Amino acid sequence: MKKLFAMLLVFAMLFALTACATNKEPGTPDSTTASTGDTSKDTTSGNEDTTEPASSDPIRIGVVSTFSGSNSGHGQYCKEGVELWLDNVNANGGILGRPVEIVYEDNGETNQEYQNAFIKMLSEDNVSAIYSNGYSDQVTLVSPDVESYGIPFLAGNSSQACLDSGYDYYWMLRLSDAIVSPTMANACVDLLSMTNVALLQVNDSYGDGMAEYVVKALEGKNVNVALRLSFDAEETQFNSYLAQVQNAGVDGIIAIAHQDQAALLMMQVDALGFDVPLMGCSQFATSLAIDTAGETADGWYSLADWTCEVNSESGAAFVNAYREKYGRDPDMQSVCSYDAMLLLQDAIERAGTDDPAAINAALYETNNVVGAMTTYTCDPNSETASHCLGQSIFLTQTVNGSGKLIDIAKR
Amino acid sequence: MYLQLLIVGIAMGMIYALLSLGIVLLVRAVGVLNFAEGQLFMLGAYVTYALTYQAGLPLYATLIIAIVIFALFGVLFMFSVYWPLRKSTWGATIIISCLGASTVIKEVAKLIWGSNPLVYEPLVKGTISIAGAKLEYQYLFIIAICIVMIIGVELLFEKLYVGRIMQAAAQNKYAAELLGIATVVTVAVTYALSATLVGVGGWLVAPLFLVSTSLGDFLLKGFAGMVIGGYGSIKGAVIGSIFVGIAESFSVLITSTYKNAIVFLILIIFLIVKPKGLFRPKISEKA
Amino acid sequence: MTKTKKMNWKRLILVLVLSLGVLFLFYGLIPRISGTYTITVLNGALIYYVANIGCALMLGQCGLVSFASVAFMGIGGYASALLSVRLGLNPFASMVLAAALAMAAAWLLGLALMRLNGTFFTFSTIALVQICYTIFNGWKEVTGGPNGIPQIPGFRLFGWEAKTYFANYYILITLCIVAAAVAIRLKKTNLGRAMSSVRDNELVAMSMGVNVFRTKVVAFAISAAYAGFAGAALVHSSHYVVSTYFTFDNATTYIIQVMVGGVYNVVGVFLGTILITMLPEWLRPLQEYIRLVYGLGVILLMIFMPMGMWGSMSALVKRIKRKLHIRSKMTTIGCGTFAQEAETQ
Repeated sequence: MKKLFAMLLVFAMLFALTACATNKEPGTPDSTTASTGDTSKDTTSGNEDTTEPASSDPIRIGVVSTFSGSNSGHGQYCKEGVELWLDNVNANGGILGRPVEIVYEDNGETNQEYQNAFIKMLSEDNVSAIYSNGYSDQVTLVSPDVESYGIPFLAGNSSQACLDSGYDYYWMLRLSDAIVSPTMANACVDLLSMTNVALLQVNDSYGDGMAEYVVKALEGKNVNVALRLSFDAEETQFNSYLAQVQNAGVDGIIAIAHQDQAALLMMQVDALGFDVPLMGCSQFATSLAIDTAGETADGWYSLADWTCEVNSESGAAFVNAYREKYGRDPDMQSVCSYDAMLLLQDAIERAGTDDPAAINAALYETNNVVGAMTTYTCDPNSETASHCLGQSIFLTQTVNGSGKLIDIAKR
Repeated sequence: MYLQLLIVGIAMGMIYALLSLGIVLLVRAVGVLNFAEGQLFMLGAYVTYALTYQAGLPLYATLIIAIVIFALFGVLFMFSVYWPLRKSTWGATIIISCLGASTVIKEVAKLIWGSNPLVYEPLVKGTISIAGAKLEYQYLFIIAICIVMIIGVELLFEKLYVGRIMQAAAQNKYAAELLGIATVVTVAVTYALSATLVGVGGWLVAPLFLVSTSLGDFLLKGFAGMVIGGYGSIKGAVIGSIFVGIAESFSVLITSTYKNAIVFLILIIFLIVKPKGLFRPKISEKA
Repeated sequence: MTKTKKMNWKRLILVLVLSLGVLFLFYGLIPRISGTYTITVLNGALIYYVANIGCALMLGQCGLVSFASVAFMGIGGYASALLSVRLGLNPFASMVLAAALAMAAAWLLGLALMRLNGTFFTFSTIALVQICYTIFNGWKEVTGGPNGIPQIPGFRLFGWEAKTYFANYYILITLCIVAAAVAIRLKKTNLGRAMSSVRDNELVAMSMGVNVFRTKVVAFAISAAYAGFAGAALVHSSHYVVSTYFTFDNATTYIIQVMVGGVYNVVGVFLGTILITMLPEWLRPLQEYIRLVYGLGVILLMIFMPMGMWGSMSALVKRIKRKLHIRSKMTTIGCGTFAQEAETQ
C-alpha cells in the first residue's frame, strides 16, 4: 500500500514539474528555447507522396545522432536539416525516381551506446550511406566497423586524426582542423597582429586536436604561445584561467570550445575587460553562442564553417527555407546534415544505383557540389586530406550580435 | 592576480557552500547522501527563469513563489525517493533512487525548457574593481545572500526550538518519537529546507553560468566541501567549501589540465590525514 | 546418512543439468538467434558484468559502496592497450598483467583508504574516479589524451584472431563464466566468510579474530582486479580506448546495474547488468523520453525491489517454499528441507 502511494508520488512529482512549466509557456518570447514537440515519430516520414508505380523500393539513408541525453539539441538540429532536404527531394520525385527514406538511430550519451547504434545501423537497417555528427573519438571508435561493412560514412566532425587513419569509407564534410589552423594563424598574425598569445582550449578530442595544429601553425609564423590552458568540457568558471591570461600580458587570445562554453567564455572575457584581439574557433560564431552571450560576443573574430548572416546564395536560400519551416535559425548541425544529404544525393545520382560501394566510388568524383555551407570537391591527389570534401571557410567578426564577413579562406 | 584568484575562489566557494549545506542538512537528519542535490540546484535556476521570463513576474514575486515551489518540491522529493526506502537495510538503495531521481529531474527539465542554455540577466550588470581585481556584481550578491542563509541555518539549529526538535529527531528517531515528535514532519521540513537552499543557490548562479542542465555538475564540488569540512557539520561544510573554491582557483596556476585532479587529490589527502574532517559534527555518522 | 547422500546426488544432477542448459543457452542458442547488433550490445554488457562482479563483491560481501571500479577499468584498459600496442604482447597476457596492475594499485590505495569508514570511503572512491579520469584525459604521452589509443589488437590465440563480434562474444562469455565461477568459489573460502562477517558486524568480526582492515583491503584489491580485467577486455574488443569510457557518469551506471540486479548473487548481477544495458536499446522507440523512463524505472525498481531483482526473486521462492514446507511437514519431518532452506539463504 505504501509502495503504491510512493509510486503515485513519483508520478505526482513528474506531473508537478510538467505542470509548473506548461502554465508559463506563453510568456515573453525566447529565441533560444528549443521546441521539443516534433521528434516523436520518425523513420517512416517522407515517402507518403511518392505513389508512382514506377518507383521501386525506397533508397535508405541512415542518420546517427544524439536524440536523447545531454546533447539532444544537436540531434534535433541535425534531424531538422535532414527533413528539410528530404521533403524537397521526395516532392521532386526522389533520387533516380525512387523515394528516399531516412533511418534515424539515437546514439545516446556514452561511447558504448554510440557503437551500439552504429552497429545496428550497419548490420540491420540496410542503408546505402550514413551521416553522423558524432564526436571525433566516437568516429574513431566506429570507423573500423564502417570499413568492414563497406558503407560510406559522412561525418560532421573535423579531426585530422580521423583522416590520417586512411579509411576508405570515411568522409569529412567540414575542413579538417589541420587545414583550418594555418588559416587561423594567418589571420591572427596578418590581420590582428598578434605576437604573444594565450590559447584556451577545451580538453576533449575536438579542442585538443585543433589546439595542436594551431600551436604548430603559430610557431611556424613565429608567434609565441605564452600560455596554453586547457579545461574540462564541463567547466563553467573561467575567471581563474582568465586572471592568469591577464597576468601574462598577452596581445591576443585564441579560444577553442564548444557552443555553451564559448558563450560563457565570451561573457567572462567581457566582464574582465580585456582589450586585446580575440579569436575563436567556429563555435564562437554559431548563433546559439552569440545569442546566449548577447552583446559580450561583439568584437570576437572567428573562423566559421557557417553562420546565418554570412552566406553564399545557396546558403541564404537554405536559411530562408529553414526559418520558414521551423521558425528558428539553423544551427551548424542542421547545415552539416543538410549538406551531407546533398552530397549523397549527388553521389547516388552519379552512381546510378544505391549500392554502397558504388556510392563510395562516386564520392571520390565529387566535384563542385554546391551546398549550403560551402562547395564540395574531392581532391584524390591530396595526401593528407583526400577525404575532406569542404572547400572554404569564413573569417568573420561579430558586430552588434551578428557575424560580419572579413574574408573567405579557400583551402 | 593572486587577489583576483582569491576573490573568485571565495565566491565559488560560497556557491559550493550552499550546495554542501543542502547536502549536510540531509546527512544530519536522515543520513542520506543526496546525489540528486545537483539537479535540485539546476532546477532552482530553471524555475526562477520560468517565473521571471516565461510568467513575467517581478523579482519579489518570483522569489516568494520560487521558494514555495522549492519547499513543496523538496517534500515531494522526500516522499517519492526517501520515504519508501527509509527502512531499507542498504544505504545504497537510497543512493540509487537518488541517482534515478537526478536523471528524471534533468530529463524533465530538458523536455520542458529544451537543451540549449538560457540566459538569466543579472540583478545588476557590470563589474566592481577591488584593488585591481575585477569581479562581477553578481558575486557580491552571492556572497551576501549565502552568508545570510548560512547564519539563518546556524541560528535555526542552534537557537530556535524548532531546530532543536529537528536535531533531536535526527539524533535518535526512536526517542524523539517517544517524546511526541513526529519524525515525518521534521524530515519533511529538512528536505524542504534543503531544496530551498540549493534552489536559491541555483537562482544566484544562473546569471553567471547560464541556465542549463550542466549546473548539476556542481554537485561533486559540494560533496568535496562537505567532506573536507567534517561530515555532518554545518560550519565545517561552509569552511570546507570555501577551501575547495580557493584550492580550485589557485590550482590553475600549477596546472590547468589536471585542475580537477588537484582538488580531489586534496580531498583524498585530507581524508587520510584528517579522517573526520576539520570539524567534528555533533551528531555521529549514521549512513 | 543415506538420505543426505541421495540428496547430494540429486543436487549434483540438478547442477549438472542446469549448467549444461546454461552452456547451451550461451554458446548455442544466443549466438544463433541474435544478429550482429544484439551481439554487440551483449558484448558491452558482458564486459560490464565482469567489472560489476567486483563491485558486487565490495557491496554485497563487504557492505562498502564503491564507485572506483570505473577508475580501475581505466587503469586496466590503458595498461593492456599499452602493453599490447607498444610491446606487442598477446592480448590475453596483457589482460592478466593489466588486472594484476589494477590489483596492485588498489592494494596500495586500499591501505590508505580503508582506514576511512563507510561514507568517507565512498567519497574517496568518487574522488579517485575524478582523479583517474583527469589523468587519462590529460596525460597525452601515455594515454593519448582525449584522442585515445586506436587500433588496439583484438583477442588472438595460437594464430587465431577474433575478428568479428561473434568471435568476441565467445571469448567474453567464457571470461564471464570463469569470473563468475571464481566469485562463487571465493564466497565459500575463509576470506569470503570473513568478508560477510565484516559486512554484518565489524565489531563481532573483530572479536572473532577477523582482521577487518586486511579483509577490506583484500576485497578492494580483488574487486579492482575484476575491474582491471574488464577494462582490458573492453579495449581489446572495441580496439580503441579513450578517456570518455571512464567518467563518473559511467560509474553511476555500473552501481545502478549492480543494485538493480541484486548484490548477493552473481546471477542477480548478471540480470541487472543485462537489464540496464538493454533498456536504452529496447526503449529506442521512445526517442527523447528514453532517459526519463529509465530514471523512473530505476526509482521504481529500488522502491519495489530494494534487494534487487535476484533478492526479490529468492524472497518469493522462499515464501513459496515455506508454504509448501508447512504442508510437507504434516506428512514427513525431513531434515532435507531444513538443509534446503539453509542453502537458499
